[in-house]
Parts: sequence; C-alpha cells; structure tokens
Amino acid sequence: EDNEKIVLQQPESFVLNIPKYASGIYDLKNTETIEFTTSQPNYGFTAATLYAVQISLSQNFAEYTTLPGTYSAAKFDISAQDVAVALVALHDVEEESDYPADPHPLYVRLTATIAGSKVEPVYSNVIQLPQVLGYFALEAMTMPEEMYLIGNVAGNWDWNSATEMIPVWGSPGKFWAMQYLGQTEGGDNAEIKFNYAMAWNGNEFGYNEVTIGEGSAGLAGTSDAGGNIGIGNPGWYIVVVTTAIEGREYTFSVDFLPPHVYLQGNVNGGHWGTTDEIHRFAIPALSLGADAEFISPAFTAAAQGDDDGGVRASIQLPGHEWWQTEFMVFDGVFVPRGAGDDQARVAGTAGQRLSINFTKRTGKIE
Amino acid sequence: LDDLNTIPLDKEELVSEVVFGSEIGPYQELLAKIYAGLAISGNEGGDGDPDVAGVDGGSQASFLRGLWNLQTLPSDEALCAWNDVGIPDLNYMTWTANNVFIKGFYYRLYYQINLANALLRETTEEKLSSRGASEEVKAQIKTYRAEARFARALSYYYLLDMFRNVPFVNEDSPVGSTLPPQIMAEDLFDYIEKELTECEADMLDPFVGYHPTYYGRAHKAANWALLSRLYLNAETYMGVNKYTESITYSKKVLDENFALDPVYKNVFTADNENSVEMILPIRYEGEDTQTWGGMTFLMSSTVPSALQAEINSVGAWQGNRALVSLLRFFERENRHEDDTRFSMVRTDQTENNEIVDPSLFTNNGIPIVKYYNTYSDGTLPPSNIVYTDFPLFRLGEIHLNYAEAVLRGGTGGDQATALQLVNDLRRRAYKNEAATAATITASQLTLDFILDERGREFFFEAQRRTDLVRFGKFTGSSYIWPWKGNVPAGRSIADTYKVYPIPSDDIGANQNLTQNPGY
Amino acid sequence: QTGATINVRGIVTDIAGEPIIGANILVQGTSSGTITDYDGNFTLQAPADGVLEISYIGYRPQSIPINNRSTINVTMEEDTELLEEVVVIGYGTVRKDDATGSVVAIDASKINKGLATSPSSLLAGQVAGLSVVSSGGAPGSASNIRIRGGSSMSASNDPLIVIDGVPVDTEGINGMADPLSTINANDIETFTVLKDASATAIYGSRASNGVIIITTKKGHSGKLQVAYNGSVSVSTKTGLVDVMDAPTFRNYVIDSFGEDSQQAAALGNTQTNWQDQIFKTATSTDHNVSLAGSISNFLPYRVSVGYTNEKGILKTSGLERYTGSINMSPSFLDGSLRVQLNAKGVYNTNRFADRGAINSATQFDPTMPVYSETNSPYGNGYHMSLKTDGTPIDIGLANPLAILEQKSDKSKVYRSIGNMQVDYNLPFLEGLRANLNMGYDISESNGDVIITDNSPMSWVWGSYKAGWGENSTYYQYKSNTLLDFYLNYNNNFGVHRIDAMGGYSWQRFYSEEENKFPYSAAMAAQTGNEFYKEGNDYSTESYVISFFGRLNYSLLERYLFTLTLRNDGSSRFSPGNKWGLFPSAAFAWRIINEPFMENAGDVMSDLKLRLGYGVTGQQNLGNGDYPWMGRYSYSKAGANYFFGNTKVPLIRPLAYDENLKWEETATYNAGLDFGFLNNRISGTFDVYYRKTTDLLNTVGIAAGTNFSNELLTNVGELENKGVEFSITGRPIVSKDLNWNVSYNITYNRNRITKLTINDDPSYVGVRFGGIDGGTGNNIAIHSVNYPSGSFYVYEQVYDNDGRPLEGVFVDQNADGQINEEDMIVYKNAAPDLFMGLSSQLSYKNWDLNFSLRSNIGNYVYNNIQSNRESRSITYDPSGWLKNKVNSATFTNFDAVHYQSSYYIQNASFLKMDNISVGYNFNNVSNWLQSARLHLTVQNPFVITKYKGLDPEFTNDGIDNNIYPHPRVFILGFNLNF
Ligand SMILES: [Ca+2]
Ligand SMILES: [Ca+2]
Repeated sequence: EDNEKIVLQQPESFVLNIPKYASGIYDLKNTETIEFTTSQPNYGFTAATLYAVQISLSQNFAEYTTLPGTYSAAKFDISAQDVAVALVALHDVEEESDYPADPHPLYVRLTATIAGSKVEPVYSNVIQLPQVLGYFALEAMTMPEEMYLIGNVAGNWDWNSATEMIPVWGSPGKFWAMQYLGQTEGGDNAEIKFNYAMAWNGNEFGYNEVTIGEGSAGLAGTSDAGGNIGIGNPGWYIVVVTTAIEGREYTFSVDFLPPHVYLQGNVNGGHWGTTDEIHRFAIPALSLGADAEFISPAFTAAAQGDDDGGVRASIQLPGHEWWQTEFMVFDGVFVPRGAGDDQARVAGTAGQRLSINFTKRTGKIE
Repeated sequence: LDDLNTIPLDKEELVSEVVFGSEIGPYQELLAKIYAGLAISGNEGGDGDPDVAGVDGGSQASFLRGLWNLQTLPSDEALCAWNDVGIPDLNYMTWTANNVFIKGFYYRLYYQINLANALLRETTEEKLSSRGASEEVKAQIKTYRAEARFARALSYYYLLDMFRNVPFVNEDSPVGSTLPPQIMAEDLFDYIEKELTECEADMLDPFVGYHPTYYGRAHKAANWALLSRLYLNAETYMGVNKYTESITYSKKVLDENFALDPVYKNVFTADNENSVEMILPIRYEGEDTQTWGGMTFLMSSTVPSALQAEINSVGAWQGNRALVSLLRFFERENRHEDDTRFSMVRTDQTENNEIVDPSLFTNNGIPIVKYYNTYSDGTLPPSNIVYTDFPLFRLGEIHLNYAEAVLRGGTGGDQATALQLVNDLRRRAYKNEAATAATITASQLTLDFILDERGREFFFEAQRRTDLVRFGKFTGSSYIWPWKGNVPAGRSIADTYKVYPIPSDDIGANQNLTQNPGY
Repeated sequence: QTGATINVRGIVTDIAGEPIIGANILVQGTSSGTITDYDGNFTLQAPADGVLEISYIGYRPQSIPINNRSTINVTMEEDTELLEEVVVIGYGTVRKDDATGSVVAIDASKINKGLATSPSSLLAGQVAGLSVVSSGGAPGSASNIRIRGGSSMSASNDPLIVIDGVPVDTEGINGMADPLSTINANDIETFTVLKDASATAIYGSRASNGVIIITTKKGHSGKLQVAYNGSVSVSTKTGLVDVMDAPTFRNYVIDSFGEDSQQAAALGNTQTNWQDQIFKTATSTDHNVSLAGSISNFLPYRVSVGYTNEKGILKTSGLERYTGSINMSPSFLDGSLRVQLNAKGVYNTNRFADRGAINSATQFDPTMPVYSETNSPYGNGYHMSLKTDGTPIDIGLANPLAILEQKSDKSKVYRSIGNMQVDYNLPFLEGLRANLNMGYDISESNGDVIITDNSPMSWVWGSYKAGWGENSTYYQYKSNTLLDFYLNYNNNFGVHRIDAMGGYSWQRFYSEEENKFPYSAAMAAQTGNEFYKEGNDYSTESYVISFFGRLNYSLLERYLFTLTLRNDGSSRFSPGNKWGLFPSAAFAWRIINEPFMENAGDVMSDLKLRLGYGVTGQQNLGNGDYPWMGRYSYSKAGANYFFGNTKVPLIRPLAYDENLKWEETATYNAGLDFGFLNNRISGTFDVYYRKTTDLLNTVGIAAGTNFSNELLTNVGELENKGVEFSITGRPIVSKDLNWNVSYNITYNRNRITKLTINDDPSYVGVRFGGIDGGTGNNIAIHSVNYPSGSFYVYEQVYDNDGRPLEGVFVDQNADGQINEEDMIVYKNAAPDLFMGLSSQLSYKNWDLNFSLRSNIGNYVYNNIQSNRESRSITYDPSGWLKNKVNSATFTNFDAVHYQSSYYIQNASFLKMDNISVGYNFNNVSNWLQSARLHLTVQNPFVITKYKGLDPEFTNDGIDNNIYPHPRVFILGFNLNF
C-alpha cells in the first residue's frame, strides 16, 4: 500500500490558457484588470498552488518582469496598471515621449509554486497578447529616506564628507541638521546644496529648486549663489528640509532656524519644554569654527538612567514634540533618535553638563 | 422488579428533588457555579470534569482565556507563538467555522446561559413555596434570580458582540432536543436591554471595594457598566446609535463612590479585591479556584521566564507577546516613559520589538507584564496559584465610554466632563511629577485619541477587538498592523471577520441557524 | 512380559467395516507401538502374552490380549460419550452436534503448555473472530478482547465474561488492571466463545459484544492427583525507541541552530542513554499446586493455590499475586441432586511504574547527566533543568529515572468469585431438572500514590510546582451478586428431541470508592493543612432482572432448531425504557446425517450448515448508573467560588437524555462446520453481518438545548461485516511423531452508517484521540461511512525518495489553500484481517509448540515520531532541549506537522506469541507419574514494517507512552504425582 503514497511529480510545465479576447487590443490605460485562466501543473495531486505572472517583450523571455501579487485560484485578474508599470521598465524608457505609441505584442507566462513549501517553481507555456497598448506609468512615489547637505563649509563639496541630515520622528521626508554656516577660511560666505543620495546625479537641489521659509530667508540672509543657497548671515543654524510629492516630482522647502538646543528631564528639574532659555545649550562662538561644542546648563539633579528617563536633550522644531528630534550621547558618540525607537537612557549627576560637537558628532557628559 | 427503580445512592449525586429544598445553600451553590463559569472551566480544580465537552477545558473553554484570545490575538495588541491548532488562525485572522477556540468560547457562553436558565427554573415562586422556603430565603433568591438574569444577559452580550445572530433560549425553553430558533441582532439587543433594565431593581446595591459578604457578585453598577458598553456599541451591532443612553448609564456609575485606583498597577495585583475601581471582578483565590485558563493563563502565557519569580506566577509559557503596534500607542505620546502603564510594556526583555518569526518565543516581540500574583506591597499570597481577580468591568472604562459617547454626539453629557474624565484617567497613569504633561486639551480629545487611550489603558484586558470594530479599524485597510492578514507588514482583510462564524458543530446540529455571511 | 516376541498383524475397522487410518496400537506397559496404514492395516512385534492397546480419537479405546495370536482384527466402536460431547452455553449445555450457533470451545489444557501467564493471553490467536490485544508489557496488564469487532462506539466493546456461571464485572478494579487475573490460567478447563446472536441472545442486554464462558477444572473420582507447575522467567526489552544518542544530538543541534546559538549553549557534556536508565532485565517466578480427587467417591474436589512474582522491564514495576481456588461437586440422591461449589480468590499487590518515564526518556536531553553534578538543592540529587539562577524550570521534563524511583504507586487488591449451583432432577417427570445458581463477585482494592518531596516531578508537575510532593490514597469496593433459577426439560420422542429451558435471573452491581489526599510533608510544613485536596467518595448500584427461555428442537438428528428469548430489565434507564426484548432463532442442518451423504462418509466425517439471527443489547454505557436522570453534581477540590469571605462550593446540572435506551445489535450469521477423514481435518466457515442501531454516541447537540454541548444519546448506526474461517488438522499421526496444527483467519469491516440527528453533510464527525504535542490536538474521528475510530489528517505528499515534503499536502477541495476543509478520514487502527496459527508437534518425549499471530491492515499514529521530529520543538525558550528521533534528519521538518498522514503508518505484523520446547518424563518413579520440562520464549520476534517499538496497541492506535511488550524466556516444570 506504499503505492498509495502521493508522490510529487515535478512537472516540466503547465498550461496558461490564451484569453478569449487575446486578439483584441488591450488598452492598459482604460482597462482595470486582465483575466487569466490556467490549469494546475500536473504535480500528481491537487496542490495548493500559488501563481505569479511574468511578462516579456520577447517570446524567449530574455528579459522579463514578475508582476506583483500571487494567486491561489486557477482563474484570476491581474491589474492592468501593474502591467503598464512593468512595461515602462521593459521598454527602458525614461521620458513619456519615448514611450511606444502603438500596440505591440506582449508575452506572458506563469510560475507556479506550492504554498508554504520549498518545492521548485514550474513555468507555464508562453502566450502572446498580440496588441497591448501601454502607457507611461510609474510606480507610486515614496518619500526619500535619506538627505545630505553639502557645501563649501559642509564637506567642501565632497559627498563623502557631506552632512547626513537627521530624520524627524514620524515625519517622512523631513530632515534636520545643526549646521555651521560661518565663513570659510578664505573668508567666503557659506554656500550649500542638498541631495537625497550621496552623489552628483542630477537630483541635487539648491536655491532655484527649493522654497525657503520667509522667516528663514531673513534670518540667514539667503541668496542665489550660482544655484547654491548663499548664506548672508554667517552663523550656526538648524537647517530643515521638508519634502513633498507633486505628481511624480519631489518638491523641497528649506528652513533655517536658530540653533537652540534644550536640556530636558530630571536633570533640569523635570522640564520638558523647548522654550525656556535657561534650559538652552550655550551656542559656541562662531570664531571657534565648525568643530565647536554646544554646552548644556549644569544639571540641577541626578538622573538614574533607567527608571526616571535619564538625561534628555532635543532641538526646538516648531510643530514637533521634543522627543521627535531628541538625541543623546553614548560613549562619546552623538546619536540622534531619528525615525527610530526609544533610545536607551544615560545617567547624569547634579552639576554635570552635556556638551555636543554636532559637526564631529561627538559629545560628553562631565 | 422494584429493584430496577433505583435512585442515586450517593449523596453527592443529586436529582433536583433531592438537591433543592427550603434552605438557601443549594441555590447559592448554583449561583456560584454561574460566577465560577467565568473563572474556571470545570467542576474540579485544574479544569477537571469540564463543563464544555469535546474541547480542552483549560485552554479552549475557559471564559476568560477564550475572551482574551478572541479579543486580543486578532488585534493590533498581540500575537501568540504557539502552533496549537486554531491559534495561528486567530493571530492572522484566517479562522474558519471549525476553529476550536471559537467553538470553545461559544459553547462556554451557552453553558453559562443554561446555568442561568436552570437557576431561574428551579426558583419559581411556585417551586419555592412548595418546598417550604421561608420569606427570608425567598428574598435572597429574588436577588439570585436578578443576578442570573444579569449573567445571562452578559453572555448574550458577548454572543451579540462576537457572533450577532445566534440561537436563543431562556428559562421557558425545554431541556432536550428542541432546536432553538435564531435571534437576529436587533432583537437580541432589545432582549439584553430589556433583561438588564428589568433585573436591575432586584440586584444588590453598589458597593465600593471589598465587601465581606458580597464581593464577587454583580451589583447594580455592574449592570449599568454593561449597559454603558452595550449602548456604546449599538451602532456596530444594529446600525442604530445609542450614545445618549450610554452616557446615561455611565453617569449612573460615575455617581456612585467608585474611584480610580491611585496606583494603576494595583488594579492588577493579588489584593485587587480592595481596589476602589473594581466594578465586577472574576475572582481567583489560589488553590480554591484552580485553572490553566483564566488568570493563570493571563500571567503565565505572557511573562518572560526571567520575570516569573517577580510576578509569582505558576508558569512562564511565553506564548503571547505584544506587537510593535501596541508600543506605538505609547510612542505617540510625548512623555510615555513617565506613563506607569508603559512600564508594563517590557521592551527591556526583548532584543527585537518586531515579531519577525511568529513561532519564536524570545527576542521577538514585546513581553507584557500586567498582572501580578503579588500583593500591592510586594509581599506574596499563600501560593503561586493565582489570587489576582480579573477586572471584567472597572471604572476606567466608564471614563472613556462617557468621553467617547460625548464625542460621538450623545447627549446628556458634556465636553468639559469628558475632557476631565480622560485627564483624570491619564493623570492617574502618569507619575506624579509628570501628571501635568499627561493633561490634554479639548482640541486633542479626538476619537482617534480615544482609541489610542483605550489601547494604553486596556491593553491585554480583552477589550481590543470590540474597540477596533467600533472604530471601523478591525477589518479593511484603514488601519494595518503587523501580521494582520498573515503577512509580516499587515494587509487589508475582508469585513467578514468583524464577527466570528457560528461554529460548524452548531450549524450541523441546529437546522434553524444561518451562518454569518462570508463563512 | 515373559513370553516370546511374535509378529502380530491385523486390520482396524469401524462398525461399518471401513478401515480406520492412523489408529494407535501400543503394547501395554511399553513404548513400542505403531499406527494403521491407509487400509487400516498394522504390523508389530509384541510379546505373545502381551496386551495391545488400540486407540483412535472419537472411538472407544480397546485393550486386547494377544494370546499368542498373529492376526488380530479390531472393530472400533464410536465413543458415544464423545458423540455426546457437550459445549457449555448460557444456562446449560448442548451436545456439540446439536449446537446451532457460532460457538467455539477451547480446551485450555491443550493450548496451555505452561506458556500463558494470564487467561486472556491463552486465548490470543486461537479463535477466528476473537482478537486479544494486550495493552502493554507491564506486569498484570489487561487485554483488549474483541469478538467480531466492536458493536459500540462510546459504550463498552468488551464481551461478557461468565466464570462458572457468574457474569463478572469486566470494568476492572482500581489497582488491578486485568479483571481476568482473578483466575489462575492453570485452573481453567475450557473457554467457550459465543460469537453470534443465536448463541449470545440468551444473555440479552449484555451480549452485543459476544460472550466468553470460562469453566474451571473440577475434581474427579479416583485417586488423588497432585500437580505442580512452576516457572522461572527472564524478561528483556525487545528494542528501544530510535532517538538520537548524545553525539548525534549535539551535531543535530549545532547543525540546526549554529555553534553560537542559545540552543547549542544549552547542550550538556555528558552522554546518557535514558532508555537504558529506565529499563532493566527482570526475573519472575510462578508456582502453582493443585490437588484433585474425591472423598469416598461422594465428594469430588479440586484445590489449587498459585503464587506469582512478576517483575516488569520498566524499573520498579512488579506484582505479587496469590491465587486460590476450590471446587467441590458432590452429588446426592443417586446422582439426581448435583451440587457445584466454586470459590476463587486472588490477593494481588502491585507496584506500578509511571509510563511518563518512557515518554520522558525518549525526549530528555542525552547530553545531560542522570544525577545532578552541581550540588543543586533541588531534585533530591537527580539532574533537573535549572534556570540561570539555579532554581528549577517549571516546564522542564521530569528526570526519567526519578519518575520511577521517586514515585511510589502501590496497590493491594482482593477479589473473589464464587457460586453454588444446585441441579436437581425432578422425580415426577423424566428429563425435567431444576437449576439454582447463586453467585458473587466481590473485590476490594487499596492504593497509595506518593511523589516524594523535592523530587524533580514535584517541581514540574501538578498545580504547585513548589517542590511539594503529592500523596493520594484510594479505596474501592465492588460487589456483584447473582441469583439464577431455571427449569430444563429434555426428552426424546422418537425422531424428535426437545430441550426446553426457562428461567429468571437477578443481578445487582454495587460499587463504592473513596479517595483521600493527605499532606506531603513539605507542603504540610508550609501550609499547615492536613489534606492538600478534599477527598471524595462515591457509591452507586445497578440491577439487571431477566426472564429467559430457550427451546431446542431436533428432528431426525438432522434438523435442529433453536429459539431463545430474553426479557431484560435494567435500572439504568427511565421507566419507559427499562425493559428490552432480545429474541433469536437458529436453524442447523446436519447434512452429514442425510442418507445421500452415506457415500461421502469415507472422506467426509462432518458437515453442518448453521443459520442464525438474533438481537442483543448493550447496557454498559460507560456513563454511570443513572444516565437518564437530570442530576446535579457537586464540585470537587479546587473548584469553588467566593462570595465575600465565603468559599462556596459549586453545584451544576448535568446534561441528560431522558429517552436514553439500549443499543441493539442484530446479527445474521451463516456457518458451515465440516470434517474430513474421521475429523482428522475439521473446520468452520462463518459469515456474519451485524448492525447496531440506536447506537450510543456522544454527539454535538444544538447550543442551548442541554447542560452540555455534547450528549450521549441513541443516535447512530454501525455495521460490522465479516468472514471467519478456521481449520484444524493432524497432518502427521504416527507412533513417535504427531503434529496438530490449527489456523484461523478473520476479515472484519466496520462502518458507521449514521451518526447525528441531522444528516448534515458539512458535519465531519466526532473528533477524539488526544495526542502528545501542543494542546487539545486530536487525531481520530468517528465519521459516517467510515470505520469507527479512523484517523483524520492532511494528506501528505512525498518526493521520489519517499521523503515527506514539508508543508505539501493535497488540497482536497482544490480551493488553492490548505485548511481544515482539506482533512480526510484516513485508515484506522483495527486490522482488516487477523489470523492465528498454532502448532503442537511431538516426537517421542519431545514436544515443540508455537503460536503465531498476524494482523494485516492495522494502522498506527506514530506520536513518538510526530512529537520528536521537528526542529521547532527542540528547544524550549526557558533554556532546555528535547531529544529527537533519528529520522528527524531524514524528514528534515522545521515545523511540527502533527496532523500529517505521514505519521499514520502501517503496523501490519506477524508476531510469534510464543514458542516452546518441552521434554516429557513418564513413569519417573512410584511417586512421580510424569513430568515435563519446557523452555518457552514469549514474543521472540515480530515481523513488521512499522518503525516504532511495537505495532500492537489498544490505545486507539496512538503510539505514545506504550509500555513495550518484553521478550520473556521461561523455564518451566510440570510435575504430576
Ligand atoms: Ca482574589
Ligand atoms: Ca483547500
């Protein structure tokens, strides 16, 4: 009766049926879904099969894309938009104007896997949809996850030394940095630009690509410096970049804020605000250059580090809670919370101060 | 041939004529069985001699364990690592009408209803008089009858909340093979409402904290608290809003002398019978109320091994962990480190707040340590078998019910009181010096805030599924949490899952029933 | 013999002149002799003044002086006493030739050559349609006896057992697993197995599962005979569960989880074979002495005493048993008043070993030591899994050896069965007799179960896990009293013979029990309580009252009719349902006696056709004595509720079905008995169909209708169909060499035809059969159209190497996903075919006997494997490891797949139950008549494809925690004085 054992036959292939209206034109822009039917690979038994759809412009599938989504039924609808998005990549077009205007053949095949198993996938036959009219569709835009600030006083235009900006907690696309924007050694005013990748790749943006907040422009004395943002009023600034999506484009606004850093928690008597001057860190003299330290007021009480919240510090960012921009120093290293989880707590005793070098990203409590 | 007409020889094996007489004892013991049915799952310690057949008593037919599983596992609060049949389906919201945990809870509720029916049948005026019960006994039994009706309404409330259109039986239904009819949600709602309002008068007057004679029994305020909750969810159950009525009954509770326990944790300790916040407990008293379900489960299934001694639980099974979405309730708060409720979310006991592999027990999700089998002063009760009572209704809920009903347009209450009640609750939770930070303004008091606050206040108290359904966030795509719909990031699920299916066993046994749509 | 030796020849014939083949010719007082050839001829050398003894089975033996004759022709007469050979049936006997039902009588002395230690093991493999499966290898284990498959699902499937006219309690007694062990196997004369309803219906409401009638040996007239049987035996284990040894397990853990994993860190440094730790080779002894004789030809008596000291292969398990029996059968008034007095008793002390040790030994980490190496104060010196702070992990496994050595589970049992039967030939009417039978079956047992304080178990078992041991004591008393009376009339009127019987029976069953839970010393010290749990006691009774009658009518010695009717009243049912009527009718045709068979007489010596129909019942519901009553019950310890300061115990109403009644089984049977060559070959062929209606089943009932969601009620229907064939032959009959062999085979198919009140197609059935692993997982199901107790699983898919593919199951409903709707009813634990072969071969003084048994088509759920094979259950997060079976690296499962059909495995087997070689000493001395010395091996081998330890189970076919059957080497002596 061992013959009763069901043995998986690894099938060579399986059948993807040609849709009824395959010969018609598939106008992807005006179609919601395309229905496919298949018959299960002959595994030798009825398996819980998951199908995925692959498309190609060539019959031999030299280059193909696997569409998102899997299907457990033998009859299923795929999204026409998914096909269109994949086609943009397969056609390898960058501009809408380059996109083919006429219907063309599209080749489709399926892969089948057995749900929850390590069984090898099986490929179906390839069918042709002779007339598919695509359009220039792109995937949904997402906010950049990184942001860099570059300039003559920020890495000296070298991306490897550019300032990595800090994400604001809970605000995708929003970044901040405490930036020295004093003059260069040569006495030039600071000039800066931004990019969401560490590269000169055409996506960098400067004075002409950004909106500078009204108050900020006056505070920093910004101007167009050959496409860079020129800083007319040398000093330390909290630089904030806010990204928005318009259509398929990013737009950016930039703000320059006073360099106010606050001490919080038990060590300042339990104050959590970002307004009171007495809890503000001392701003280093500009003459000390970029490498200078911000130094907190002396702690008025001790913090254990675990139970009572420890030593806490943040910048003031209007419209945000302090903890969305908080940071701390661990073993001499400045670590911002960014978009991450709660940070570990650091202990302090009365009389100590927290000092931070925002350029070198170091700090200490002593 | 008379030898064939035997009656049971054993004094503990009793036919009703022998059991019930003129004395109060047996009636009280039958009433106690109704309450015990919420706490333990059989007639012998450790879930022996189970009430519900065909399932595992301690794990699948415990009222409290079942309630917790069904309200918590499919929600944004928790995920269970055990691979027992039926558990993953609760985690992922992929259950079917054959799910054994759904079956166990469903039949537990009907068991409770039948107990109440039995008490009502055995205590008719006619029967009591024929047995020669004194007026004093009759007076006590009048209260028992009211409590039985309350308990029955409570079970029907959970059936309404979880299953909607269900079989209906009361004390007039024959015991035997007559198939009960199916009652529709609207009618069931009316029935529960009618029963509760009718039995209220005969229930005990409210008492606050421990009462040496009555603690453990439902009093009028428990009735009001249930009505407050029932009305708050009326729109979910039958599309008719009853927020005004909810406010009415919340106010009745608020007008009594209950108070928020000054220390949040003390609502969950082994001496919580003293809590001034408790409205209706499910009582646990060590080896006299032994079960592997109930509070034993709530402690043992959640506590990490390292903290077992600290909470003095009988085990550390470690199946249930919080999802990171529970952590987010707190992280959306400025000073959540100062929230004493947050200190029960033990991120210090894991290396990974996210659940990456649902079957791993440790360093994979966040242990929650909410219930303590230690007294509030830290000393230990007589054994590690749990003494802690479960707060089935407590004042904190009434604060939030009131505020939510006002926000949803109920009349008879006011915004200022609503804000005051919410801030009172928050100030209790936050440490003294941070209490001012806990205070919110009227503009911050939104429905979304209430849902978060319910999450912070009632996490792991078996309320979440009901809340998410009421807020329209349980199914669909408006709110996604990890592992919702069996993908790590979470996904939308069909509205079918707002209610549980009637177990296929009952569909098979009762031709009058129509299954809930989609199952 | 002093005369000269001469040649003697002759021919042996029967009265009709037909030669008798194989008749035995012996010279009296010597061992020299011969047998007749195919023409009945013989030749031998014998002293001229000697005496020839001529014998042949079925014929009266003769002694013929030679008187110097060289030709002696012998005419053998049929032994009419043998023709009159009777078989015991209910309330009387019947001539074997007149039996109309399917009745098999077994001569116990023929099959018991000192091999069997219990009465039930004597029966194993001997009778077609009778399956005997011992529940394990523990000393004193009970056996699961089934006649023609079970007729019930939830009620008992045990046959009714009647010992010397007393229907006994087969539910057993606490502390003595096997109810049949009351009787010493050496005291049994015959077993009679009544299989079909025409035979069993006379026992009415208790006969649905067949009847086994046991008759014990009696005294006899003549000289005092004293016999001694004794044996010494050595039991050894037959194998071990194939779990990993320490180095293999270490590699497995490191390969699976990595060298730096917490799993690898939990490994120990020792090598322990835990199964070797818990098993041992055990030595047992058995002695039995019997005296049989008669006091002055008036009072035949037989007395026997036995002593058994049996040790189990699982350490600490063992029993001591003293048995005694006395029988007196005086007759008065010239034999017209006969009295039988029987009393049998047993005193049995047991020590039970906790089988949890076997489970634990096959899971306990083999890299851990047996004894603590850290001076830990926990566990009384035995190794335990500890937390990093050195305190016990409360969900660890208990140390296997400690489970045995730190738990004492002992019982003492007394039981006695006896009766007095008076049979009187009424003087006023020839052939009329009256029979009065009064009997009892009384037992009492006491037991103590003690778990030592601070033992490893006291930290990981029970409710406290606080190092408190547990004590409990139990007491049980059962009594069953019986009174039967019947009149029997038996007479011939020419070609008509009538045998009519009518009677009345009254039987009462009473039982009481009491349990106590005294303190453990450590617990008492901490809590000050005398008892850690409330005790409980319980008593209950039931009655069965019956009227019954039987008419046997025989015409021309050829046409036989039997009608029986029993009207049973049971106290277990409601007044409207108490009485049940159980009729039967049977017809038999002795074809061999027909004139047209005369010519066939040369070859054919017997041919009989039997047809029978009858209805029987089942009142043993397994649900107490008052299942129809609405009752309440009090809660036991640990279940209370508090109102304020008052601890209130609970009472609850119990679910009940007022209309509960008997199950009824209708049986149709057709059989053919045949014999050839003077019955040198004889056999029986039967086909049967049994249908049980009003089948008691615990079914799901509509929510809200009763005080449970399940109710025992008469709802289902079940059928059994089967074919039985048995044949016995004597292929070799000669002076020195004789061989008897018998073989039987049974095919039985069981099917549930109705299960619920509503025929709801979506209802899959009643799921049961809890398994080890997870919580609340069941593997078996009762489902309509399938055999009861089938397995219920997902259908596994394999690769070409036969390796199960993890997570690949057949999507039965082809909806693209695997969920409960894809589970199937698959195989079951009952065999489709079972057979037995037994052989007795003798050569001169030597004999060789064996019995083989085979089951085909029985399946097992290999729970040992399913719960020890997946990577995910290797490590418990509290910091300890569980061992794996070696097949884990073949299947290579990451997750557990308890419900995979992979674990339903074919457990067909061929088993040598025993084989024995004996040597007989005859006329050893004046005082010792004969002696026999034998060497027997029980369970020498099993041939099976099943990979588990043993393919034979009683536990719904779920292989876990089985006490393996040992292999037993027995050296035995029989001495007859
Ligand atoms: Ca308590
Ligand atoms: Ca399926």
